[in-house]
Amino acid sequence: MKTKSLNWFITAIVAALTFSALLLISPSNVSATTSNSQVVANVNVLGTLYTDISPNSITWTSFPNSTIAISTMITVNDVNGNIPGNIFIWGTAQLSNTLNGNSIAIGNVMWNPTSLISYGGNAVTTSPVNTLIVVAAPKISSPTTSNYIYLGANVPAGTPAASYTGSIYFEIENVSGSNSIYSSQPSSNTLSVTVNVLPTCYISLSANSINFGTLSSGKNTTTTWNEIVDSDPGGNLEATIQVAGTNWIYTSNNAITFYVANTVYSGTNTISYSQAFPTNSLSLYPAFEPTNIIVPAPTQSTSTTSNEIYFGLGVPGGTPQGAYTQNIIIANQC
Amino acid sequence: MRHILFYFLFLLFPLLFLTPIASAQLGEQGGPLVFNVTLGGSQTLNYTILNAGSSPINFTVELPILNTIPNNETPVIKVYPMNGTLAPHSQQVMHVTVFMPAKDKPGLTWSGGYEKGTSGIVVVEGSPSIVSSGMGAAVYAAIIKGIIISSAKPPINILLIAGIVLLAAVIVAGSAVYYYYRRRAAAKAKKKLRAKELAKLRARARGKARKVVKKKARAKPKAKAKARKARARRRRAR
Repeated sequence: MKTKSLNWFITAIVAALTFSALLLISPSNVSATTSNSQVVANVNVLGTLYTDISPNSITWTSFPNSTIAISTMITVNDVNGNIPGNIFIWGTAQLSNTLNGNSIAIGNVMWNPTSLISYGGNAVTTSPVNTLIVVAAPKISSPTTSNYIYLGANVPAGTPAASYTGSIYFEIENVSGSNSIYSSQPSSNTLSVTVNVLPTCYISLSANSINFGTLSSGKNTTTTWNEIVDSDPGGNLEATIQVAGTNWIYTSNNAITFYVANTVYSGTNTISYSQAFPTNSLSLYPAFEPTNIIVPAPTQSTSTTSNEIYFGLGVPGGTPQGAYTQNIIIANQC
Repeated sequence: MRHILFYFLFLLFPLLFLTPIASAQLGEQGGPLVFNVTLGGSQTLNYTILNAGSSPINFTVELPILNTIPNNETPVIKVYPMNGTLAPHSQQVMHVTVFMPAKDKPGLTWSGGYEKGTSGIVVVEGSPSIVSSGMGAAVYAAIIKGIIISSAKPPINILLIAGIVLLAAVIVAGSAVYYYYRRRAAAKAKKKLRAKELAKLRARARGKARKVVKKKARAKPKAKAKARKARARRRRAR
């Protein structure tokens, strides 16, 4: 009886050892109950764009009635996106100065895909415009892609001397048909634009010659005045007119002359020559005579201002008969 | 014929409006150029001239005419460039340098373009100093840049003053050290000389003493003999 139970015991131990050995030999070393519990991870990567610009601010210094070439380069980057996109551009309605209440309309800021040596290209508007400038899709090997856009500006005539600021926005968008994928946040897509307008005056004369007609020796133009209109087309400062002239020279013989001071100027055409002579006589160039005649400062609403200056002439007695010529210089000082 | 004239006018009318009006628009950055130049020094300031028009402008520069101040030289002014061409819608930076005479007084002011008989820097279209042949007056446009120049004392050079003070201190200290050592050396020399003299004197004294001793030594036997002779004489006399 004892031997029988021992046999059973040994058989049970052998069976247990055999089962354990089989388990150890099995390739996965897992129990049959755990062989089907593998973790399958799924991720759906979306088509993504980011917009990042460099620099984030620009400052132009310019003059009224002048332009800034389209040569300021802005780099538009897609950092860590994965699909290509086009650069869109738009801006605030104006670059403004809150102190003087004046502004430069955003349409004066122009963009272009390439640098230009002069002002031109496409106007920035208040609504986004597709520039068709493509920023390629970033890759794992190069997670940042970029492209360039060039800016310039026009400072309207009469814009007062001051600092004008506004913003221009950039956005990389993937446009395919009617679906658009916009840049994801965070995006640093705002360019701060400042235009420093300097004080300026211009001069433009309406006539570049005066024919005093025929005069007798020892006579003058009395109340007949020859008008020249002195204009400031687009500056922003008041200017004072100064005048000078050269001596009158006999056309046939340059050795014969009579003095510059025989020509007089006047701010009005209602006086006579004798009232203007000699107080308003021209001085010999390059010494100038201040006239106290003012050309007012142009403004954005009145971009060209002007004033008139009149000239008269007296011919000294004994002047040989014939044609004489003189140069008159009219200058604006501001 | 009427038709031809009509067509001519028809063609001419829009042409009159389409032809661009080329107008020169010479301009300048406003405000005077204000210089503050040290005596014997120079200063350069810049300003911009502009062509806002659609045609190029040939320009020439006339140097300013400043007021004169008795017993003082007028500062010398140089402008660059003195002539050139401004392309349509372009700018040109003008460089103005003022040289202040060294012998002028500080605190003086010269100006050009603000008083009668003076003028600022004149930038004129074309060359009006050349009178062209013809009749009447040719009118030229120009812009004038007012100029104000003040003479200033050269700033006190602290480094130079410190250098001079340091040099003086070094000279004084050097002299003191030199005289100290010189005096010491003289004293030493004197001492040496004195010691030498003393030694000489001593030597001399020693020599004299020896001579005296010798003399005495030499004189002793004679004296003894004399004494003996005297004693003998005295004995004999007794």
